Amino acid sequence: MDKYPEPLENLIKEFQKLPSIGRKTAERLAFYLLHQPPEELDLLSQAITNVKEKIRACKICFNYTEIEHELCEICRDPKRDASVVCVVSHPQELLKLEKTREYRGLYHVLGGLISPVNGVGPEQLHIEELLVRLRTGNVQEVILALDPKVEGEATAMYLARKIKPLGVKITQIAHGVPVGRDLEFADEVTLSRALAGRVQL
Amino acid sequence: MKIDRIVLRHVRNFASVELEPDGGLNLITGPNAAGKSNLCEAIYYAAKGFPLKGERQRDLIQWGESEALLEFSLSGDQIRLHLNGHARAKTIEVNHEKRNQSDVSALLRVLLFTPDELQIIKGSPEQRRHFLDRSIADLKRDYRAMLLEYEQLLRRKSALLRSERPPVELLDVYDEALSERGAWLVAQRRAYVQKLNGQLSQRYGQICGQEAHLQVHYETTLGESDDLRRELARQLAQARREELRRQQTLVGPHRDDLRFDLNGHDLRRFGSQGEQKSALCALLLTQVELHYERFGDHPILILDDVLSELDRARTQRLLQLLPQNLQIFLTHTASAEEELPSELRQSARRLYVITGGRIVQKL
Repeated sequence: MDKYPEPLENLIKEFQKLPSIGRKTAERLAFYLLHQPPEELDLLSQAITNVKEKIRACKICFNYTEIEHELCEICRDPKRDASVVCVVSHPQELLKLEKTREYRGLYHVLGGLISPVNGVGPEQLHIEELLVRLRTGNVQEVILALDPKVEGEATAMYLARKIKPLGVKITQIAHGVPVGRDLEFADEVTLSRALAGRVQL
Repeated sequence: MKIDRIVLRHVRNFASVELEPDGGLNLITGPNAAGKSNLCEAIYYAAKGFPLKGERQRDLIQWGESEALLEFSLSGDQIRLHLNGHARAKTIEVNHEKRNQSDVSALLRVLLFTPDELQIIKGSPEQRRHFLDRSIADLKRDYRAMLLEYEQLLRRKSALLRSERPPVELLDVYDEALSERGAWLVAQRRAYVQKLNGQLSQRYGQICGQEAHLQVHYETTLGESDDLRRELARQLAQARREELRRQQTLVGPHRDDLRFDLNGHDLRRFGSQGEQKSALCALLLTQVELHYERFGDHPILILDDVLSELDRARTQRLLQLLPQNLQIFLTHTASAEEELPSELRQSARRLYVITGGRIVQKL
């Protein structure tokens, strides 16, 4: 026998399709599930079905929301400051920012970053929707919170070019030395960026 | 700077090797393909964090083994690299504390010269740019990161140029980012070439024993412009139509070249073999000196199989002119000890003979 019975083999194959899962991990997960009670497995398969069926993108900011709402929790919240919009590439980053509890404005999720190498241009992202939002709403400031790498930088520069003519203030989150680490271990590029973006005390 | 002790386990063809090199000239000899270069490569890899000539890290691990260990002791500091082939992982320790590559690169500074170096003069513009980039990166630690970003931007812009109807604003964005980095790179290259030119003629004279005028010309489309960033942006804008047609970026530091002029003649086209070799020696001497000026300490010099290119007399002259307190690892192919050039044997402070993955210290 060089293979497991087909149902088990199928499950392993499905797991292997997931990011950062190799054959060994896939086998371990499959055997784990095999030893779980049926109720547990029902919960899992229900959760997997629901994730696609019961989730949709917010009409305004493209954050995820439950299917019965047109708008996400943040866009629905009247206490949020509608004059500030923070632009992120993915909903995961939005959640990270939310956890800080420092930011009370709204968001806009682009759905990725401009990446010509992967065939992602501005039209594949929710950039036009952002511009419409800025043209029609009462947004005073846009904060760009994108990866400080080549893709994030190009996207930020592109957005800046598009937003500036609209007369909306545009800012970018600071890039620099990680908090709680010794300065001597910061790499040169990070340090020189941090120097360029220094603030007055 | 001096390596006091090297320990290699399962590195290339060395199952287990321990040596305590001298602070001066270490002569490493052995027959063809015995593993002389492997020793040089191990030192180079530790210093730079990547193997020579685009090899993979996995290639450093002895065939059939899954792990390798490289240890270096230098004036009180202990560097330990542990390579795991399965996990493609590398653990770096300095004085038994986990550190990263840049910490090791700061402690272990290496200048490498191989027969490929003759290509600096004779070879393609790409090889000359590569030499320039490597030399500057040795002296300026953020140079490589900036170059990498520039190259990443170039690749993205190329992809954009190849796509159907690329948006103008997006091309503008890449050109703006490219001009910023490009200008910085050009400024660094220009400054480095200027430093080379401050010493090259004198060094060349020392090698040949006669006065000469050796200069490097940095050939860039940006010319002598003061505002490099603006000039590069202007040239990119001007080249836009042609770039769209040819689907590549046509101006910027990735198109730069160097020209070596000896007494007003292009050394690549009109120089004799001997003149080219002497120029190379002058270049090496200057690099050693610039290294010292920058760090207040000599690098470790690896001369891998350069005798075949430089010939005996010139190598001997080079060794005499190099500073006395410079640690050198020089490899030379010889199937028997007696085959070694006598003057080389006399200047060597240690002699290592490598055969079949073993190193025997003879001096």
